[in-house]
Amino acid sequence: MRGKLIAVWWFPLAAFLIFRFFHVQVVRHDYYLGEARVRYTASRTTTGKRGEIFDRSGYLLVGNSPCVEIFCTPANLPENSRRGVAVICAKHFGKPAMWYFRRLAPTIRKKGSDGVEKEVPSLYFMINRQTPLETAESFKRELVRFFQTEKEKAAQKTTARHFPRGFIAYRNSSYRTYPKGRLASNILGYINVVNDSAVPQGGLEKELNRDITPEKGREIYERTRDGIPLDYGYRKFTGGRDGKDVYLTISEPVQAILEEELDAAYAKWRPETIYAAIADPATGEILALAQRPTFDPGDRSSFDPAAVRTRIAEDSYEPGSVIKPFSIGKALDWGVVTPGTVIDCEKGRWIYLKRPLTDSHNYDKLTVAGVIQKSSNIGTAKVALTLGKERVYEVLKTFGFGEKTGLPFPLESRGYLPRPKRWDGLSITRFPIGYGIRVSPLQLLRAYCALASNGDLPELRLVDRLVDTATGKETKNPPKIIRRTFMNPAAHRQLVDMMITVTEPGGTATKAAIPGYRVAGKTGTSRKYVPGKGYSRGAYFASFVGFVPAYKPRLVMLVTFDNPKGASYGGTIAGPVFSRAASRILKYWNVPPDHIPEKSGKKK
Amino acid sequence: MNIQPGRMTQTRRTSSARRDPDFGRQFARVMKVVLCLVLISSVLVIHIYMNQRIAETEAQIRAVRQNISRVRTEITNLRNRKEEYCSPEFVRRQMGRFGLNLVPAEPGQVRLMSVLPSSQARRLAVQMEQRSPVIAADSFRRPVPGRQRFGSMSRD
Repeated sequence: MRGKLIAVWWFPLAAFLIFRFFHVQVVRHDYYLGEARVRYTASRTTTGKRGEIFDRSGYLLVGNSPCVEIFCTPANLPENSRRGVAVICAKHFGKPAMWYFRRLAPTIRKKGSDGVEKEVPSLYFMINRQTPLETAESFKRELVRFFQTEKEKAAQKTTARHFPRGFIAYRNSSYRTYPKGRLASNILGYINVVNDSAVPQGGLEKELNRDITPEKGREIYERTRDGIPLDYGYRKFTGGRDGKDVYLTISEPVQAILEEELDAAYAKWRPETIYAAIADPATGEILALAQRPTFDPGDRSSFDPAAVRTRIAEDSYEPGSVIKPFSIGKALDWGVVTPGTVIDCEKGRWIYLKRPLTDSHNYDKLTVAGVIQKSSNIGTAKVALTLGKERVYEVLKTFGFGEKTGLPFPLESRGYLPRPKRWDGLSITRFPIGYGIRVSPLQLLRAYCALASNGDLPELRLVDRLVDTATGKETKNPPKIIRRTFMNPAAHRQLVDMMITVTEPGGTATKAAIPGYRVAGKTGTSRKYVPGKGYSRGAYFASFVGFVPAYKPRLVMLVTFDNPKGASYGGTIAGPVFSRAASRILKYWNVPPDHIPEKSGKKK
Repeated sequence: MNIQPGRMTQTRRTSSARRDPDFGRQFARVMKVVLCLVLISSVLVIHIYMNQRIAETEAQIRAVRQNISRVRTEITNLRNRKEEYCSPEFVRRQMGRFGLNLVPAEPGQVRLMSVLPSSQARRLAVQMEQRSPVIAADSFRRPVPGRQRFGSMSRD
């Protein structure tokens, strides 16, 4: 009977328990697990990595360094531990202990909406933002040790104190690093951190910000009672995406060679600014882009407003004689003149519309080839007069002057090229020799790319591709030809031949020559215009733009000095920079020298 | 008076089986239920055990993932450091620091120069010497191990 009773009571109970157990553990397992997780998990907004910037070969130019952000709620720190924590902070992060002590005060004075200052609990203080991982670990250990000691000390007395709950938090983050220092810094730009978010300042960091900015996501994580994420706890990420990596067309070694030569020239000639750029004429790819003065993005003390701007894209100037080959080249192309056409250069002084136009030397009569070689202003002006102002304007427009190059610089200059109806009588004699119009160094570089690549005006490219790191998907920026500038290949060849003579004995840029290679180029020296005073007699723009090897160019290089001291001619100042840099780059690329016949070497 | 005979005990003992002839069947039924319960409990236990193992394995996966992310962080740091050490500015500084008088290779030291005619090669050597006597003379006079010199490499 007793057994039956037991069976009657216990079997259903056991069955119920088993059923319930089964229900909880098997049928509704996921539901209860989810419910439990809601209680011991928390969520927070996560930010992916900002996209990195590489050169064409994948050398890192701008990267991210993992770091830890350490912040706290001072209101949760016991007053008697404040001094000790401040000392630990000072030991690890460099600022004085008193600085931390003040900021760790549990209350702060804040103006209310009624305008009256009152004490409110201090809820947030960023102890250190870009903390290297090792430093953060060491800080964490020391802080734990400090509170343990405090606890032990207190245990001997009356009440034990614990690590203050909700006082400190660590957040994994990353900061922007510029491992190549000053290299291409004006092009790359830099980042400022404002209210815990990255604010790009100039250069590609700013222009490509939309692509390289990561998308925000959400992280659900298991937490301790204090809200600290468990190292090996459950974690789930939703949404969010890293920024896209950017691959530039810049070549780091070429950029380094150019910048090294610019540094030497900057020290020697002490100009206000130097602009230099190298491009591949066939594709329009920018291989190097540099300017002096510059800055180191890792060293804020080197920041100077003049140095930080991307001046090579934002500035424009009167180019001087470097613009002459365009009018003369098109005159050859249209058959208006031939290389042998003789022009009277008026012995160096020509009065046109009651205004004198002079040459640097007193040339009597020069052929068109001689006009280029000797850089005669009068000869070029006379060729331009033969063309007429409409055609001169067409020439300059065809080579892309007065329009942006489209490189990703927010403040790129368009230069200044007025329409023919706004020209005065003198314009036709001044514009073709590089006065009265303004061009940017990038426009000039692009125009010379056309001269170097059989007349095809390429679109300049600085960004080669964008790569989505999550999917590996590449967004390419293929090379494009904007327009053909020369219709007659023979005329183009004649122009290149003339430009080669510029760097040969008798030309204006013998110092730009590179032994073993044919260099085609043109010098330019223009007086600087001072607003309100007119053209300065002591300040110049000295330029050299050329390409090498002349008949199969691998590079086009522009070097411009703004107001150099001690000399003024482009051939004297910019020519040697071109020669040294191009020579080193050709060696680096193992470009074989040209076959140069004996007679061309002896030509005077 | 004991009205029951002495052998009644025996009779009583045997009679319960005789009274419930289905005892075996009942016992079997109970055993079946017990077996079922044992089966259910063991399924339950196995299920719980498996869940526990899954949780443990997940924790291990998370630990491995954590390690992977730590290693990735280290790789990123090392890559950044490597890039810094490879930067031309750093190399130049180190060259200055250790007094390494390195000069770039001259055309005579480059094998690709072999396409030049000998007359031009000689001319080029003279030009180079005129430009930078020290470097040029050094590179043209000193034979480079494993590489031929300018003139002898020319075609004609």
